[in-house]
Amino acid sequence: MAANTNGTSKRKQAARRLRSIGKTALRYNIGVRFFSFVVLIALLSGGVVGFVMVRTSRDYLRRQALQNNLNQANLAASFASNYIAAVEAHVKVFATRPDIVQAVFNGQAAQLQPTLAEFVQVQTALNGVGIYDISGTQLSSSLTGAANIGQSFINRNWFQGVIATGQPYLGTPTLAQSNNVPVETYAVPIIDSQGNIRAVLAAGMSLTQLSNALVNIGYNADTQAVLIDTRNGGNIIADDSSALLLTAPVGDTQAVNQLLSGKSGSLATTGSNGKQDLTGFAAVPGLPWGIMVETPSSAAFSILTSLTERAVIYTVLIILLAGIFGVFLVLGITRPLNRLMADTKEIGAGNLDVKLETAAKDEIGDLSRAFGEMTVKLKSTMVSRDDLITEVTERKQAEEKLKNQFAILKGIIESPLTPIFSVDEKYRYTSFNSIHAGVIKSIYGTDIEVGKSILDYMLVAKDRDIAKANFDRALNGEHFSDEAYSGEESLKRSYFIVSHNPVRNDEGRIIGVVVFAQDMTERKLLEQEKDKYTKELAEKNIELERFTYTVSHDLKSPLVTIKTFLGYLPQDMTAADKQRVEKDLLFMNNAADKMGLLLQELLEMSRIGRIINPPVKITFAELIKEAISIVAGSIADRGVKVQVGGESVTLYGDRSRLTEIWQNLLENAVKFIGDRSSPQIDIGVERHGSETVFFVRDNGIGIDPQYQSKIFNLFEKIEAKTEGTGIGLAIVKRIVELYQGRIWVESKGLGQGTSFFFTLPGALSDKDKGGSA
Amino acid sequence: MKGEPIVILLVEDDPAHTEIIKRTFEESRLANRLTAVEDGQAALDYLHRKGKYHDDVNFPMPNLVLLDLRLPKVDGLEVLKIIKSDTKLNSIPVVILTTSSAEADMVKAYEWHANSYLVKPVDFTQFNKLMNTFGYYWVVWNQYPHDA
Repeated sequence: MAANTNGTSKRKQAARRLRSIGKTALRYNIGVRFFSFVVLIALLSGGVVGFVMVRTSRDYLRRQALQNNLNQANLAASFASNYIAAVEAHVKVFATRPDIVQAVFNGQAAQLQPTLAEFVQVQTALNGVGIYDISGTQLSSSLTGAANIGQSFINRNWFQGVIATGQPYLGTPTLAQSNNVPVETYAVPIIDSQGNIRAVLAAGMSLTQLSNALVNIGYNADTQAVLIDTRNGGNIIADDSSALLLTAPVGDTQAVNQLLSGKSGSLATTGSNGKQDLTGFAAVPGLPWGIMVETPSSAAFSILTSLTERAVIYTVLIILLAGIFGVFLVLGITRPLNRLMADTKEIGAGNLDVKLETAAKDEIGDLSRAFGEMTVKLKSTMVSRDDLITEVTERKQAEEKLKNQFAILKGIIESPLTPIFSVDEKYRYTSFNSIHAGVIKSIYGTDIEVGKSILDYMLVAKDRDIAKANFDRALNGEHFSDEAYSGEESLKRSYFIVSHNPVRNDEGRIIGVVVFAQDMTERKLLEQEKDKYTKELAEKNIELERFTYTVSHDLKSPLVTIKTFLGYLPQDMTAADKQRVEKDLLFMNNAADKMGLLLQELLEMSRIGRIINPPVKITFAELIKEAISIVAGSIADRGVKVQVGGESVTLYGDRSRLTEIWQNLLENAVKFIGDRSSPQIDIGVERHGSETVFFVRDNGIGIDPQYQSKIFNLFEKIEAKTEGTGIGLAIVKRIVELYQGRIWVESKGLGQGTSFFFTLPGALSDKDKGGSA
Repeated sequence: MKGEPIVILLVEDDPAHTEIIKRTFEESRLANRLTAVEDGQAALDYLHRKGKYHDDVNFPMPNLVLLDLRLPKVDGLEVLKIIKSDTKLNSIPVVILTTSSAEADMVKAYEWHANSYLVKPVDFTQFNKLMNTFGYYWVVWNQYPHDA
């Protein structure tokens, strides 16, 4: 637990360190670069746009100002022209007024003063009107007081001009003495009917109104209009600055020169003060005047300048804003990025419990979310990896355990001295112990392998069928034990008690069968032997019982006879019945003889199997020869022909007992040979399969089939009257059984002859022993 | 009853015993007729009226069979079995007279419906007594259906 906490805090520290490293790195990397980029973009775009705009605006403004000035100059010129023309027209008309002309002709010009004054009053543009004679002397004036009447104005250019040309003439400008206002005199000749100049009417035109109109109205604040009388090198007749009135025009000499030469146009000029002026100039039609409208380029560009200034301010502001915004933007990007990065590092450091903030609804938010999802997935992956590791570990442990258990199981199945094996549902070996392998090797001669079907090893079809049926029973869920008898006959046919147990998997499905087998061969053989002995014993018991019964019955019978006739004897003797007495004695004698014979035969019978002579090797031919020699007498009496045939067989056993077999059979055959014309007895050996069968065949009276089962019984006689006690065939049977043989009789019935067959495996099996005879 | 002697068929292989039984019956002077055969097969032939036994005068149908057990050809028990299985013969009483006192023989005899089981005594007096008693019982007192 402590180690775990330690590990967690270490991890946290590492994460913190990583986060701070990430922050700095980002600030100098992304943040600064991004911020610089924003500023650079703002500056570049602002600069280029500003530059282009200023440049364009400047040209445009210059053109605009020049055009404007020219237009205004033209307008002003037109205005001035009209204005002066109107005044001149009034003056010309006035000069032709009849009262004026009459008065002049009549020399009564002096009296025209009120008319002139009235005219001046109406004509506001006029300062005063005077009438002069052809010598230049003032005749009349609109002014009261007439200070100049009589004075000569002959040297005045307007007078000289009129006299010289006979046409109205505009005099050069002068300043009015009264109010220091520029005045130009318009002189008109008063002509008589002959066309002679009789007087000159001069009207002083005050240019104040015109000047005001031209100079003060409709311009920009910085724009100035200057009215110039182009004669005599030019005189300013209207200007803002009254100081400049009637001075030669200064400024751009080019514009002035052009103006003085009567041209119209516009020019950007550099003034004496070094400043640029934008000048429009126009000649006033019908007048020796020109008008010049000047705007200093600084004024013309003032908008541009202020615009530029503002642009700069705005740019700066924009940059500032952009900077601030940028900072926020950068922080907005870098902060989550930093966090993300730090979290990433922390996640990288293994802390998968880091919660990624995913509130932002932008790409970083998406990234964070995506990353968060990835982390969650990673976490689940890590969890599953951890699970996997745990599982792997557990599985390894389980495997180890399984291995151990397998080893234990193997040890267990190897422990008992009985065969154990298991098969799957296709009868293939899944396991077996070495005992089982050894058994299979011993009974089928093959080595077995796991994975191969046990049925393939079972070379005996019957065994295979039984085994398969048993496996199928077990595969159907049955637990059972059964006996099996398997193995190759030539190898080792063995008995087994096999217990079949179905094997189920976790789901309860049967996946195979475990078989415990117990080799019962030894026990089975013992059992068989025991059974054989038991059977033999039972047979012996039955035989003994029969023997006892027979003895009790057959021995008792003559005893009863003797005792009874012995009982009759005294009374028969008393009665002196000689015949009876003889009869009684005969009966008693016969009975006693019979008893003696029975006892002798019983003794003989009991000796068979009890008293055994040492076994010797003897050929079949020798035995027959010996037997025939014993029975030779009766054979000869009955004239029976005995024929011996068959292969030569060597027997091994008790010579006299073996001889007895043929001896008894021969006696029996002769006894029942009947009265045939050519009685014959055949003796021989036959092969019935693997069995060697001896036979003694006669062509005698034969045996009724219904009695054939009885003939080998002790003291059994078919015919009561035939000689003998009925022990012969019982003795034969006894000896045959002594040599593990069996004896049977074949006869088709009375008169059909009889054949006795018997086997002597016990005597034959030892024929090759040799030597011991 | 007196006028018609009881016919007894004796089945006995030992001629000495046949002699003894004949003699005891003679001495008892009971009205009877004893016919003897010496083996099982002969007994069956007699009862089935086969061969020479077809002669009703010489071989009349017996009222009683006195049967030894140990017989040649067909054993006494086998003869009993056949008699008692034959509806024409099974009403004839069969008395076993044998030297065998073996339990197995007795059980089998009674199983096959033997009417009595007598063992031949070795003692002469006893044998005589038995045969007398037997005679009185089976010849004098025992009643037989007329058309047996």
